[in-house]
Amino acid sequence: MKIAYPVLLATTLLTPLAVAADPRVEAVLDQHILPRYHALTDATAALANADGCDVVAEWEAATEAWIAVSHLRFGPSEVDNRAFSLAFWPDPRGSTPTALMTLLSDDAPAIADASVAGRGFYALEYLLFDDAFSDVDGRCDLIAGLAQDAHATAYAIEADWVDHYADLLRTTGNDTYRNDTEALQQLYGAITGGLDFAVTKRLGVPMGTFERPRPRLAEMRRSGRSLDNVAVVLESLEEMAHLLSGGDPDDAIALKFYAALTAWDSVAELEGGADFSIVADPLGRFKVEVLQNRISEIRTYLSEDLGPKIGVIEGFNADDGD
Amino acid sequence: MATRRGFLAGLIATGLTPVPTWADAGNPSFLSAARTPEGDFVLAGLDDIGAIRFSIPLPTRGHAAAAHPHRPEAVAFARRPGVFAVVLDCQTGEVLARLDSPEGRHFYGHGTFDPSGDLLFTTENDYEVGQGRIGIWDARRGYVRIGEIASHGVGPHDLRLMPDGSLVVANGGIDTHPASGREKLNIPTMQPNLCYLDLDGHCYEHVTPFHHHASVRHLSIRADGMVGVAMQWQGEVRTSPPLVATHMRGEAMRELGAGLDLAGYVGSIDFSGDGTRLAVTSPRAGVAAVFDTTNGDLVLAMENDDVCGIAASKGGMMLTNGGGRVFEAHQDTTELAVHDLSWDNHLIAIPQGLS
Repeated sequence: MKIAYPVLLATTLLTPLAVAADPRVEAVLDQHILPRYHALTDATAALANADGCDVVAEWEAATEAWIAVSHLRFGPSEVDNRAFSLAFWPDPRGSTPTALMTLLSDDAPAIADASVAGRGFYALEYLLFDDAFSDVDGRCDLIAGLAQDAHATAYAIEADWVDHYADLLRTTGNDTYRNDTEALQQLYGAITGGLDFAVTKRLGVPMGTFERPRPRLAEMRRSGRSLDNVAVVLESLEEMAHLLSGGDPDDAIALKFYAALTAWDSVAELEGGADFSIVADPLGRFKVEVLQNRISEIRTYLSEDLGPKIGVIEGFNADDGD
Repeated sequence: MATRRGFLAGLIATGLTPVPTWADAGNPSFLSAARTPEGDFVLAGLDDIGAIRFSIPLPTRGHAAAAHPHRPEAVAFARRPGVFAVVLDCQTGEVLARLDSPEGRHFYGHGTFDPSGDLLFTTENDYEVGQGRIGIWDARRGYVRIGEIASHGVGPHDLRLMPDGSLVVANGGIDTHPASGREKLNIPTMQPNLCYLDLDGHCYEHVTPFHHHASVRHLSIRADGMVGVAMQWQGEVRTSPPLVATHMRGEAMRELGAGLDLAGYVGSIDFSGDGTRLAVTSPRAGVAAVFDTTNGDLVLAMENDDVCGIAASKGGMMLTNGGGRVFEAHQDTTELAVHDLSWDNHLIAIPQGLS
């Protein structure tokens, strides 16, 4: 065992030099990412273990658990298209119903090999809520199959986080995160990315333009979860921003989120607010626009305040993606 | 008696009208779009020492530009999924023409002229079917659209003219639809490629990167037809393969460098003037890297926040960043100028000496 000795020695020498993880990264991992992915595993397990195919309550719970981590789009969620297979949306060409018909046909592929458009929470929503699928043959089996598939995916994501990915962020100086600033940058980008997605997609897609609102493209309008999803997003992003800012000492972040949630309430009060069908009506549209603006203001605040405070500078080109 | 009016009419009739050249627009060497501190957008002309020779307002955020080979005209493309481009007179700042993408199409932000400057080619998305197109516009007749050809792939981004007058297009492989903005719709199944095509739309060579998650985006062409290829990784950064490559027709792609060093994302690419170097930028890594095109070695790496624009200059490579800075890299790097602007993705060299 001549080789073991120098290796052991090297480890011993290096240990005193190891720097403690950034407490803000630790807090986000231990109080946000890991528990929330664990909650997704649990909620999808309950969905997969439910009896029969009247699983609306279990689907709701699992969907909420997903929406609450849907901003954490890096690392384990991006392996093998996992996040896409849990959530394929927006779907401007309407691929999901087509993919479901393939899965319901006689020569259906195995679910794990099927188009991601036919898998996950958005595909399940069609099966549970869309009249076109209410009594097709094989519906119950497919619901059970998609539920198990979603659970397997959620479990795989959590396992990767627990096994190794959390450590990459905790102990930087590796190929993925060269230093703590890069780890903070990744986490910060998840928050701003989640806010941007809420503004441009969850709200922006159904808003369309004033001349041409697109309420039928609203996220999960069939189950009436369109507005609820935005609340779940705001609540989860606030938690993450709070932890990443080191506890939001002056409550500035909390105030910004509070303003957005107040705007959310005034959409919720309106008939047709839940599925954003009100965007076709000038008053309703105005209320949704206010909500959109309040969320954009959180985004602006974070890039002017939280970003610089934690040493993250947003690049004009770096964030462009073109 | 020859009046002034008569004299001018005579010049026009004999085709001797003094035609404006790039010299009349202050002799800029480069074009770049930028954002102003007020949040407005401009197209600027830069000279060899990084000074601004002109600055023309743009209606929205620009992306790349195409410089007319002879006349001081620049086509500024809106950032994808933009539906228009404007042709600017760089002497007066006037809008000479506006290109609107046809119904059901949007631009990707890149375009190129043919060597005569008569035709302009633009990359476009036929978004209901999710297929790439190349639009053809007649610059002799006010930039009227005269036709289109298939790009032979999804998500065509950059396209360039080959030395023999044919085209090469980078089909990024990523399907998007304006109803969902810039959202990527087909990451699991994306199939990027590099396609060489003639002006009749026939794709006579089709090359795919080694990994189908490496989106082929930006191109540079060397005088002998070598194509420099810049890619963007659509997976976890840690697993990124090399994202810079060279390609010669009839051969396989040759990869350069490590994708991880470029944070999985290359923003711009250009060969040096003498063709011995291929330089790339990664604003995500905050790095510019220069490779030797003969042996593929990395010869210069420069750390620079938000660096993205790059183009061959007389003295080496000219670089721009989101902080308004302009650099020149040769053996090492020199800062030439700082402007109160955020330089956007691409620095475009204006063809020299053809006027």
